[in-house]
Amino acid sequence: MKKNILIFLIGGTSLYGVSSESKIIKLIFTSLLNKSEISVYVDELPKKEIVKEAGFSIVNICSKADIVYASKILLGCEEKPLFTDSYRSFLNEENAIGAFYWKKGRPNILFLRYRVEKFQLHMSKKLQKYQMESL
Amino acid sequence: MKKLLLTACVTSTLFAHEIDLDNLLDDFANENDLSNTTKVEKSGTMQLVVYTREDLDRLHYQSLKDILNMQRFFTYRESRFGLSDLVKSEPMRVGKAGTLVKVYIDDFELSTLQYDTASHILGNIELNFVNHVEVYQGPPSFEISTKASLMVIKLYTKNPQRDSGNKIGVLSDNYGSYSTFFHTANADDDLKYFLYMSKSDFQREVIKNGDTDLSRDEARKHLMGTFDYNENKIHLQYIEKKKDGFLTNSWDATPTKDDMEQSFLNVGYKRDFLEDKSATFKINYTKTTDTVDFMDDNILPIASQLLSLKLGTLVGVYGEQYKSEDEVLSFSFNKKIALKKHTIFAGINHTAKKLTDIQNDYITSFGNIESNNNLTKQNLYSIYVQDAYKLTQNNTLLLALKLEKENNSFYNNETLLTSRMSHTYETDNFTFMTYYTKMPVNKISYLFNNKTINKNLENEYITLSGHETKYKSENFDISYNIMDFKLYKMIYVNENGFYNSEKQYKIIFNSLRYNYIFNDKHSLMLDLWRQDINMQEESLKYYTEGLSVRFLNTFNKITFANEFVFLKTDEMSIKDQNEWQYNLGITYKYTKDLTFFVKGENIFDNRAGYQYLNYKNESEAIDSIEERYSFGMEYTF
Repeated sequence: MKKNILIFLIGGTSLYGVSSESKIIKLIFTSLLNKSEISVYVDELPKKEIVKEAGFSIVNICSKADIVYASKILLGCEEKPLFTDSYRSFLNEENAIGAFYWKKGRPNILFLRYRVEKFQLHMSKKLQKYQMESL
Repeated sequence: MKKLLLTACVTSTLFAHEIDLDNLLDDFANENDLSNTTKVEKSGTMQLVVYTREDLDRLHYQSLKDILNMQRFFTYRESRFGLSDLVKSEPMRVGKAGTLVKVYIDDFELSTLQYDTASHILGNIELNFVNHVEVYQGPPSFEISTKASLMVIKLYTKNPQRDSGNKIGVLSDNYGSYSTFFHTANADDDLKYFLYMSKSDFQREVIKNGDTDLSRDEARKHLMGTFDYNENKIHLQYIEKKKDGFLTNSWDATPTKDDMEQSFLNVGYKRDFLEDKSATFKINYTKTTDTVDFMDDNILPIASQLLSLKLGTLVGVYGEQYKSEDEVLSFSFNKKIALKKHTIFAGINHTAKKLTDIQNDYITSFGNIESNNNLTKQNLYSIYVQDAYKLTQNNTLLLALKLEKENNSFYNNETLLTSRMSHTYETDNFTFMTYYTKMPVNKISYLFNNKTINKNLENEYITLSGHETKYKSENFDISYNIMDFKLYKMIYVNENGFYNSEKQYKIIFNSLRYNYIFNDKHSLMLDLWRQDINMQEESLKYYTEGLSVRFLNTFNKITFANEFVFLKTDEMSIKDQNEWQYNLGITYKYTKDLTFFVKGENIFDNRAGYQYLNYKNESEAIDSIEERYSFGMEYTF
């Protein structure tokens, strides 16, 4: 309980002064992983900047990452949870636990419950609204 | 522990809005809308109005005409050919308004040799393919445009990633018009694309002039595609218009034949280089085809005079048939360099323009007489550099130079120098910007279509100097702008042909703009302006004042867009000194995917209209903005 509140406080108070995209990523990753110090592996420079702005550390080797933020599954990342910005990857990649993507002119967030549970990640109440039971 | 829980409760209440994902998604969508604005404002251009995606969705603007109608100084007029504000126009009546209005789509300039712009084709283009629009008035920074301009309009197409999925829409109005569009986009593969197609038949009010029906109806097909593959971007566009020629060049505004066809093709390629994408290479090709078949029951006096002068005998001209192909091919390479205190933008450009007359005949009392355009080829070679130097934390000095070699067929070649300087003082709330620029205007072939003119005609040039003060706070911003415009060496035509005027064409622009955001559902925009025009060559002075007001209010699923325009002028071509216009748009978002809309334009029909030369002896005027009621729906899937 105490740990959760601390994560929430750190997450909440440090959300000021950063872009909405970083805020969204911060909120999702801290909720999913239930901790504030998170290592992320990314596939491109813009995502790197978003993740850094969210206050997470970037790792250069996938095996050291808590989560992968990429458009598709990357070599050596097959055992890691993937959070993707591609709807197609979300549909096709078995590691894709969730997606943050544009469609029909608006941003969307989706999670797939059984994949989230496969990686023993935590779906907070805030995220459950965006959860799908199956594809 | 209790203290910790209490703190947690207080904090969670305080941050309830910020950490709600729905709100964050809305904020994210808005930030993406406005990101371009912020970027551009930082590079030293203040006189900018941005229509974000959210603005366009809520206002439900149907065409660029709706945007131009609300612009200070310009409003929206149509020429006697029913084309957007090109020949007879305010504030520049002698064709310069069109020439000095530059149009870009996805940063590709759309130009022609005839007018150095494609604004006459795109001034009423539909906006269903557009993500956002930027309108710059005054001299833009070189990053926006290096061309001589009074207004730059930049349309940005919908993004394949953002708009993946499909959208379909239909529209009709009280004149029996219809328009339908479909777009589809995909960004899941390496090749990302956005495809758009529309088919429209726009009917307008038929004006009676005696026994003659004057019509501006237009049938239009529009195709567009953007393709992104890694750092490569390809842009394709094709527009085809078949329209009625309205008053045409008929001397007494009673044409017996008024057929016009236009097609417009644009192919652009762009590639960014380096990790920070600071280097850009662009190729841009446009091809405009104009076909005209005009006949009249009376002679066309100016054409008759010029032909009689050329042939040494009296010639009666009763019509005109022409078909021309206007091609522009340009290559450019730009590089942006950020040093400690300097932000340097530099580049080179080569533009080749070609005008081919497939047919160019006057229908005369001696049969068809061919007329040739002299300015059929133009090559522009330019090199430019701009340095934004940060004097202190708040002060920025911008210096820019462009050197251009203009090689013309028939006419003299020129070496042209464009210069621009500005000083900006910026704090968190205030911005003060003072600027001066001198811009030569490239020769354009519609002014050079007769051999009687002398080939030593000099290029016109404009100077613009001015100041803008802006204050912005959390909920509102207010800006005052004063701009002094002078056009030198203006090219006029008289019975002996064309000549450079030694007198100036001067305009002083004043404007005050105020935006107030009540909250994300309700906003107010006010634009108050005045321009004083002095056409020394014609010993003509007049003024125009305007007030534009817009209320945008969203209540649950319904958005009301109320627009009011008031204009006052003593310009002789405007029928009444006072005219006003009220528009009301209502958008109903039934679901996130399904939208219905209705719009009334010029409700109460209080626009004064324009008095076209010799139309009912100028005792009556014709509206460019008619009283019109449209309705439609859009669906995304």
